[in-house]
Amino acid sequence: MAQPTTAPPERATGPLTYDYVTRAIARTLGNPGRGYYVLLGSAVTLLGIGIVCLLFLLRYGMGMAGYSMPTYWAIYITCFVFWVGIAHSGTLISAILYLFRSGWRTAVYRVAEVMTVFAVMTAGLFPLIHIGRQWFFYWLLPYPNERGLWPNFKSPLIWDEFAVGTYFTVSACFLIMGLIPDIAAVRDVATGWRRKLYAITSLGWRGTNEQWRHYRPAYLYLAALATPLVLSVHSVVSWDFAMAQVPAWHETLFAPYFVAGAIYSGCAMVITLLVPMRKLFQLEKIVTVHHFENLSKLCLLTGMIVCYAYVIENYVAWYGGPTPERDAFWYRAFGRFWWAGWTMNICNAFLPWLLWFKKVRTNITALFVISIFVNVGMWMERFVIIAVHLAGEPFEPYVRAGYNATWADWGIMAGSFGWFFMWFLLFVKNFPAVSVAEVKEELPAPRRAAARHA
Amino acid sequence: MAIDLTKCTGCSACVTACYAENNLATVGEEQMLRHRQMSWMRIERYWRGGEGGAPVRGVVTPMLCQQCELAPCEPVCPVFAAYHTPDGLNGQVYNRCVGTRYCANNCPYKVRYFNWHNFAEPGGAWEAWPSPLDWQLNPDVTVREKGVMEKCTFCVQRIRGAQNQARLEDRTVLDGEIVPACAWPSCRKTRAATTSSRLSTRNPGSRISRASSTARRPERRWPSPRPHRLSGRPAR
Repeated sequence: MAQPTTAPPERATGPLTYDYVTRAIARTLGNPGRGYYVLLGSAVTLLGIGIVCLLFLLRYGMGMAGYSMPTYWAIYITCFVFWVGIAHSGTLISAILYLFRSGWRTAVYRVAEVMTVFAVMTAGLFPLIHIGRQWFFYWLLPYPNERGLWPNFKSPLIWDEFAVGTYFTVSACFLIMGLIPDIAAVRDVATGWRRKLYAITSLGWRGTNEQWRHYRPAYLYLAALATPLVLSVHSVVSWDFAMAQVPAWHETLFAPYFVAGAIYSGCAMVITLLVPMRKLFQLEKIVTVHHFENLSKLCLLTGMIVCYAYVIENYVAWYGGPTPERDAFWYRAFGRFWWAGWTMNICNAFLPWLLWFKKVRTNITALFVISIFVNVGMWMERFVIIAVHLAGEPFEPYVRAGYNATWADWGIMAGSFGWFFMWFLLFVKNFPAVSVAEVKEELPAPRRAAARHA
Repeated sequence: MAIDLTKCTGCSACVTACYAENNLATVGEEQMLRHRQMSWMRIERYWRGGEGGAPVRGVVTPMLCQQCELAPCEPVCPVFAAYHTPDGLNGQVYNRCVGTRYCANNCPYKVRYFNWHNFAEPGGAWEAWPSPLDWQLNPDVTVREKGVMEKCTFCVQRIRGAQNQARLEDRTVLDGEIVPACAWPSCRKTRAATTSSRLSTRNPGSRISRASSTARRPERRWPSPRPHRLSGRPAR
């Protein structure tokens, strides 16, 4: 257990110091109180519900979910794209902003990165859950076998697998790399099993000059390696749709549109997670309104791009003449699922305009509410693109059909949230959720001023 | 293969024949409501006219896998379960299929059908052939497992059967020897659907294929659908 467990913040005002930062962050590893265990318990319960639903799916077939021809993909792929999207802001904040030397990222990047890794872990489950014969999922992997069979590298699903796999590997490495000095810092004050855990996971870090001299460039290289992935992963995910010839999927716009949407939803999710977390762990001094304002500026930028993409998408569908494309967009706006289309438009394209106002950007309650709406809206966007456009089949109107999700759809979706929050909560309790080393980099060194005066 | 839309009355004998020949599962009312029927061959009905006082008229069009020459279902399959056979069919390898359903999304005719449940499980909740109905299963055709995609094969078992017979008798396949279940033995009254080599002069199928008013599914040329449709008017 970390040492300064119950010590209150020593100074409520005044500038941050090295000492305060270490204590405040180490306190997150102490006893978090009842609220934490209630949250963790709910997360595990949700996960349990998801697992039970999955067992039904395995035993009785995909028909337990609400699919109907022609809606062959629905809630599960929606959740896949949603979680991959959530995963995006993490690397943006930690890698790209690191390369741009944006100092404000230090207080929030760990949360964003952890969110990334766990969101990719969540997303990665869905392609396995949604296939008809889950027990043969490994056929999608290029493994050597006696039949000499390889997966079809022309299929966007295989690209997807490589894109998401690479992203997971690199973002996990990046997270672990950033954690090493911090784990070493808490290792030195920890006792019991935790000390052993930290001793192993800190990989022998002692904070010597020599180690720091190698650490900084290595971190920089990893950041440079991770940066292109921010753009590539969701581009590849979007090609699952853009490469198919379903009207409203087959668009060249999709890659930038999806990347912007992903970062948008990711930043919103960071806000959603940070607001309760800083309350729960009393990190108000370290994660300040300034950080939230910067996050909401990122939201604003990407939200505007998403808004632009919606306008262009509809404009092109109209301008293209009486094509199946136009039918598809008509169906999105006025068809059976009009409510989904308009929820998406309102949450993603209209609400971010509020962020132009500094009053809104600096109001944490308002930001929290907006971020929830953005999360809902972005989930709905994927639902519209996937399920609604499949249901409103414009090529073959005869097969056009409704789509009604069942308990198996919602159960597994709830399970994915449980899975994600379980890992997230376990992490913030057991590892430093804010980077001790990097926050200190932004502070004046403690004795430098005194030395100068002397 | 050719389908004469001027003769088709929408009687659905071809659909029934396909069910019998290819071990298609009957899925029951509840699954029908979710549009999960397995009819590889289906009769689509559209209403035309009605504008400006024109009489409303029902139009029927049989729809089956078009065995496209540039099939959109094939490149998207991650495991090569949907593939192009050397003789030009869109093969579907049930053993290899993992059920991503990407092929069905990409199919512009929506003629791929997924096994949502195990319809062959004896005593199962979705059993399609409770005894003694299982005796009617065609031994030449696989009974599919849950979680795989299936679709019209152009009665590949009949094609291979005729080819094997021809090989045994040391000759080429005769014109009109390969007849899928949906074609004219079942379509007896109108003989709308026929098959043959396009070069044959005797067989009605080739006459239809070569007729000047023949249209393949007209509004969508690019995946190169194979069945030819003879029709005085557009297919719908």
